[in-house]
Amino acid sequence: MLSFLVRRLAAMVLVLFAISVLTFSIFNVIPNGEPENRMAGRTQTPAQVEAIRREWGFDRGMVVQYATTMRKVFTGDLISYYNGSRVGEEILRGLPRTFSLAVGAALLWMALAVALGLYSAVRSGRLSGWLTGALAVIGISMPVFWVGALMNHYLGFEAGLFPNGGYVPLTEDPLAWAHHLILPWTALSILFIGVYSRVLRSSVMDTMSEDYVRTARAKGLSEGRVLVRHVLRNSLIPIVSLWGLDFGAVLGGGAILTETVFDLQGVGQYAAESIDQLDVPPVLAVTMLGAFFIVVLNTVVDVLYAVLDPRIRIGRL
Amino acid sequence: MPGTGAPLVEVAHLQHSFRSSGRGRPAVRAVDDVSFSLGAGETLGLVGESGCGKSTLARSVLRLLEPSAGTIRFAGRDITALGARALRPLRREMQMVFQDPTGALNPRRRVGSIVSAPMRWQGAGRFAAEQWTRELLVRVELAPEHAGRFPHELSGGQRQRVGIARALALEPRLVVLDEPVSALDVSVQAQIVNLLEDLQRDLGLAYLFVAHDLDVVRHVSDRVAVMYAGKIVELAPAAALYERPVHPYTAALLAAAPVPDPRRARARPRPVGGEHPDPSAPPPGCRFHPRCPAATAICRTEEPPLTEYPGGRLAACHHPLAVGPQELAAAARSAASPRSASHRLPQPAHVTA
Amino acid sequence: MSSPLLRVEDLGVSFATAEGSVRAVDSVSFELRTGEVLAIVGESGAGKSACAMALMGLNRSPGACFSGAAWLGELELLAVPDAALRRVRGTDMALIPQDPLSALNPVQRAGDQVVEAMRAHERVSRRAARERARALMVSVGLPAAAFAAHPHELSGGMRQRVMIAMALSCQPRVLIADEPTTALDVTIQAQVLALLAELRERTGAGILLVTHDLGVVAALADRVAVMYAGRLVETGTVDEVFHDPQHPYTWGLLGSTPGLAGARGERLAAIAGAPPSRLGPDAGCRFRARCPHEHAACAAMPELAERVGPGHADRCWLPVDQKRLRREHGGRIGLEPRGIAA
Repeated sequence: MLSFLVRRLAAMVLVLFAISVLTFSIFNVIPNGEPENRMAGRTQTPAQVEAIRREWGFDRGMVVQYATTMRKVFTGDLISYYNGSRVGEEILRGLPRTFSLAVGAALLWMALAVALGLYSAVRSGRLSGWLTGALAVIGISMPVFWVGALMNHYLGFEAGLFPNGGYVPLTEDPLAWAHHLILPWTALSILFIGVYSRVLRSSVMDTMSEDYVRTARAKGLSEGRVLVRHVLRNSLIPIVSLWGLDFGAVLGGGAILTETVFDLQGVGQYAAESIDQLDVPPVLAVTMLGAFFIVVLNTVVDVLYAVLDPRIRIGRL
Repeated sequence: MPGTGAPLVEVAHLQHSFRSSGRGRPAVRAVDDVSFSLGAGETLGLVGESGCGKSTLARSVLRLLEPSAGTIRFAGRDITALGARALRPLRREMQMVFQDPTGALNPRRRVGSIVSAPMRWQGAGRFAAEQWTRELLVRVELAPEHAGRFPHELSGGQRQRVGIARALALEPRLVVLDEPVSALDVSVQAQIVNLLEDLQRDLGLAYLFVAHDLDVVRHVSDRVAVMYAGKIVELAPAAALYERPVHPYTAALLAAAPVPDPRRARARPRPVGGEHPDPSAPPPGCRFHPRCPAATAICRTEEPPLTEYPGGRLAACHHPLAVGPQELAAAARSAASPRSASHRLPQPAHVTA
Repeated sequence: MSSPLLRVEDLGVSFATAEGSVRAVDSVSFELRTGEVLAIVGESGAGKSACAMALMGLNRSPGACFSGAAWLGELELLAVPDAALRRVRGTDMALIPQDPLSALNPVQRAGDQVVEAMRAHERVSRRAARERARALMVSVGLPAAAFAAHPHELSGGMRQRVMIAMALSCQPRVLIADEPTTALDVTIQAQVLALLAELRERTGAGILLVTHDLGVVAALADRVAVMYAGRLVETGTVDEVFHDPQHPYTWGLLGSTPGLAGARGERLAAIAGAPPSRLGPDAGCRFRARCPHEHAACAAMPELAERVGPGHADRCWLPVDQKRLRREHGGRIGLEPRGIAA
């Protein structure tokens, strides 16, 4: 277990390094103006520009520039080229919002996908099974910005059932927090429910043809017990890795569209705005944050795998 | 024909280790210091339970697996260290037929193309290859029209015939048959066994016949080798091995084999207890000792040598069965013994009558 | 004679396929008595498994169609609804499957799977069930540590013992063993057969043994039903069927078995050709196309009738004396009538 975690940690460092180099290089080859000019602002003096240049290493080679930037990332001194705000503070402000969105949506889409997938697998071949399948495909085909905009317009603006975007911290008012998030959760989940229920459906159907499910029936277990104890647990194993990755991606600011449509001001939305401005530091930081979450969740998934499936032992990972 | 001239295949002290998946665990010696020879036109049966290393041994002989130690000589030539290019002309001479005819045939290719593929790799022209394919199909008792079919359109027995035709395409001298009939129904199994015997007689093939079914092996083999936990424990002419097994494991295996005769089946002794050991942790000394009814202290510590008795019977046992005093006196340590085996031959006092 | 545990009358099973309805099992009738082992022997596709699964109700599906009747005591298995059948499964009738590795849930501990079988039918506390399961597992020759092991940690033989313990958990009267030793090694196979024989003595359960292996039949069965292309072609005691086989298919099956053949080089009496399609109606005896003994009457389907003596039935038109004559002149067909020889 310990060696497993150590190896995972080493892998994470490697991944973060690779991603930061890649992101850094991309923004250095595309034209993004002279950052020292942008940072010095409109009332700049040549001395100021020169100081910024020296501080960030713009007068030196790429390697030094990269090293300086990375040092700033880890000391929290990173500031935006665009408006000089501290990137660390911005991300910390966005994280609770993104977390709220991710956790709620991940639970919602997992629960609904399991219900829908199981139902459509059990009823496969019948109309109801076909209909749930069709529903899933429709879900997959609807883009978030469209669904989100529709919801915002009809349920929020026209009907007045939900606030029109925005975020209230959980600690301030839990009810308002949930009220503000219901639409974003739903919009984000629709896509995932579609994908997940399809994957689960085929997984359940594979499992149902396994001999041990026949054994469970031959023991005289009720169909419900067969489904839950023998079919579902084995069918969930392939879903878990998918779920871990998607959850990690949303946590790391991957739900850019949802956050933007509902104006949640989360990490994703921050990244989107920074990209608009070709603002390298925030983009670099958010990308690394995303990679961090994905690697962490991947590790969690592997541990979860071993818990779900005793044939996989941590020592062998 | 068996036993005439120099052997076609000579395997000496062959070893094959698999790297174990867990870290810090020892490598698994699936085949551990095994020696045998196979004459031209001869059939050597190789039997044992799953995990004993018989399939690994068969594949190593063809160099489909890389042996970790030991030598393999084919027609007098050492092929153990030959590279892929040097091995290529020799591949014509040694072919393999697999257990599962469905898995071994490409489902997207027609039978004709499957059978003729080896000829085309070896540079035969299209017309000649087609001609020869038709002849081969007839040879394995299929119709030439089967060339246009896909494997899934054939029955299990027909698919195995295609597998045999493909193996014969390059006119090999050695065919390794890995459980060639165990996936087939008994009536089809009999057809394939008969076919293999006809082909051997007509083409002078040597067979290394790997199977877990003792009855099938007895039926086709000149000599039979019994493997247990990576080692050959007995190797003898088929009749002698089945009538008068020397090694207690061979005796146990024979006693356990289901006899399709209710009267004899009822008179069977109790089966041997225990199970085949985990190949990653074989017992010390004689590997069969934890299950052996005749085991004594020496069996737990000293690995018995492969001892040669009159009549070409080899067995690795400190307490051999069915060996008379004269035979024991004439016994000698075989050169095929594993290097780790002791030099102490079975003593008269130890013989189990 | 006591009334049979299980009485199957004219059982038919057909499955809808894209090409039409395939009759997997056709008018199969047999009885299983207390403490008896009845073997249904046949090659793959003969319908023997479909027959066994129909009794357990495990091949019920929208495309499957059943006819005839199967009486387990007073209960007609083919007609009862799923819920009632569920109460019978595991209690009165249990299954020992072919491949114990795939038949065990890989993520559940072996002992828990036995406990689950008990608690599905009996109101016992988890604790009591665990104690009973532990004892049951030891009684079928498992080490105590097997209780907490996962299936992949057990050997093939131990897994099959777990399946047997599971099947025995509610003391069933009928055990359906579907190729119980096919996936096992020779010495383990012998151990499991010995265990099944012992269980039959100890529990008095009737065992319906489904197998393709004549060696397994000889070792365990009292009576045999030979099945070919969905129909029974011969039934009788093992001695009758092995030593005085009446149907040419049985002759072929016995002749194909290498254990009965002599030394190297002797040809096996293979049966030429392959079993017929079961899509359309029958054109006479189903073995006709592969049978070397065809005559005029074969164009009509023969009945399964007791032609040689009571209890020994076959489905072949050839007169009995003709069969004996042909067997004497046709080489090795069946076993020599002899005692226990070496």
